[in-house]
Amino acid sequence: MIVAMWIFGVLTVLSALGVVFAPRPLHSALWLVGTLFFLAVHFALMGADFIAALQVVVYAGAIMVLVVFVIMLLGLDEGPTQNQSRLTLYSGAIFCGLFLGLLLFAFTHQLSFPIGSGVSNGSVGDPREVGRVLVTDFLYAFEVIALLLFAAIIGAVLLANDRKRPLMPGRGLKAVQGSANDAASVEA
Amino acid sequence: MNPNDVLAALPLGVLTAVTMTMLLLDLFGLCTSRLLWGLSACFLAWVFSCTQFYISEVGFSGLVFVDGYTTVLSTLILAGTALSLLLSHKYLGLQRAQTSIDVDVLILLAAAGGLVMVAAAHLIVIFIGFELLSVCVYVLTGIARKERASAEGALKYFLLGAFSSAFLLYGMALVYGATGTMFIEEIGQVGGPDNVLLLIGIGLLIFGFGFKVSLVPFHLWTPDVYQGAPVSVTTFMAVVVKTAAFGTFLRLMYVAFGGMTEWWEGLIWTLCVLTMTVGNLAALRQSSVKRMLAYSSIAHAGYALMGFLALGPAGGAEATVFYLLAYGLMTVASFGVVLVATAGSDAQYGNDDISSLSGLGFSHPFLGVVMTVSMLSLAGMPPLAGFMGKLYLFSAAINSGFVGLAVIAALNSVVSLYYYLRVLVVMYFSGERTLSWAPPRGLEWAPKASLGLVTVGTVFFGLFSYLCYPAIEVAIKSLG
Repeated sequence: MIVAMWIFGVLTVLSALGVVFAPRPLHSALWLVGTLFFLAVHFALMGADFIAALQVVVYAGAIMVLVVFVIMLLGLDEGPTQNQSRLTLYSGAIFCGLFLGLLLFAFTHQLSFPIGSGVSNGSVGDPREVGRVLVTDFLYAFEVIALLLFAAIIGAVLLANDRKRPLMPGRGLKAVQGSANDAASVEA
Repeated sequence: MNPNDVLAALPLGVLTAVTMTMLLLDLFGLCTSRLLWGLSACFLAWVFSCTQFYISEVGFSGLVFVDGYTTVLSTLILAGTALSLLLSHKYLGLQRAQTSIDVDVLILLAAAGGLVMVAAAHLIVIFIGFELLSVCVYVLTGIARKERASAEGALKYFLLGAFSSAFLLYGMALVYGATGTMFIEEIGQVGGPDNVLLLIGIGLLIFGFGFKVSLVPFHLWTPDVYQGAPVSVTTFMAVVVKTAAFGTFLRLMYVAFGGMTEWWEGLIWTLCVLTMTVGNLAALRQSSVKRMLAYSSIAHAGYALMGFLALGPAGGAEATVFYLLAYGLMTVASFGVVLVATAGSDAQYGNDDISSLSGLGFSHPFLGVVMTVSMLSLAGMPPLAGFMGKLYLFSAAINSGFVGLAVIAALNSVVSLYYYLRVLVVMYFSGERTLSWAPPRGLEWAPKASLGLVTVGTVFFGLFSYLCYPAIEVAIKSLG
């Protein structure tokens, strides 16, 4: 287990570095697929099989396909991205280095980690258990996430809505009928 | 479901149910008055949140608090939302923004996010509430798509907001790793003095909240976003988002980390002094009214943060909550006047030089009075609400031994007088008697009502702050 953890740990970090340093956006996206996939392996190693499967299906699968589509459709992959200024690069590197040092210090000086009540009781990986907890203990959070998704949809419609041909001008059904009539007249 | 679950669910449930109904009715062209629906949603949610006032319990298997603190903060959030709805009524179109019903729906959903946050008893719920609030406000910032400033502000706010969410989330992960729990009451019991990981977690949480309430040095987005967003959205941001974030921040520091104040006192003290001083000094140099008000809101976040250093018997938490009330009133007034005076003109995005207000006091006496009261209150003049708020904060800081901080804050108030009074000078003594830009129609009743209410409120809570202070004390007592 420990050996596998180290091997996949190194692979995760390497592909994460690949995301940052790859010269073309498409390559970055592919490296990101790798990073997310190796993260899934970490989840599996910790016994959270269900989360690992979700990670692969949702992130490495669906979301990355979207990212790659957007890159290709917008033609962002025509050449190497512009390099950022040296100052940004160095200050970012220094900040990240300091933060890494701080975390390493903390993790090595932490003598014992408490075992959380909800974790490591062997049931995290069970989809049935995840589902049960989601609609019992975490019902409130679950419902609020529904609201969050709803708000995101409304926001997307609002921002993408074309003013000349509105999706929802406040008289939704009439507009739909209107555009159907338009289409019919065009065909005629 | 036990009774506490019902009490916890009702305000949020009613608010979202009315919002959804309004959206559904609009689909069939039946939503005749969006303003009325929005206001009644806020009012009903407020009525139901009042039922929690004298309780101090948890609901939904410990995920949310059902207590007086939730009631008081929900009141502030819902009142701010209602006032913003009144202000933006009929004015969004003038601001070249989208005017469809989705805007009102997003404002109400953002308020719902605020209600979730201030009631949250679990770190995950805090985060989800934050995201609900933020997603709505990111979109609202960009609803004037044709305006460069609005689109730029939205993108900037979104990127930096996502960045700060990452800080918040990482902080939560470390706190969980160090304590083994995400319930904020349990964190308060578990945390020990030799826990380095917990310390870093607290630091990251403070940074994350620092972005959201725009403390220096995490404030860089604020002026651009406040300037770029349509003014009615800016008002909502400055009042509701700040109140919700501050309320949650205060509860987290009080309940989860209140027993280890000596660890984070230094950090908060530094952020507090930096925020006040940089905010005020930067506001001095602004020529744009909206940027000036943005920096002034940063400075006021610094004042409100003083209460965090005097938790407990010194009365800092009470003072911060009262300051949020006073700040909300003054901010609605000042941004509201800017909204009404500039809506439809070129001054609304970008070049809203302070001289665009010259002559306002004579051409629109009502707006002049509102702005005067608001500016005097922001500057901390007695007997207005801003003065009482500062009085409570300063005395709380002195009570807990932070005399130096109180002196710095008082000096900052003196500095701030200069730029607040400059607005009054421009309005009344610039020699002009008419506004260079004539608002295209007479003042609608809705913004008039909103501005009138906050002005009366600013005077009322200044003179009779002792009337609402007991409610705030009950709320803080319910924190434990």
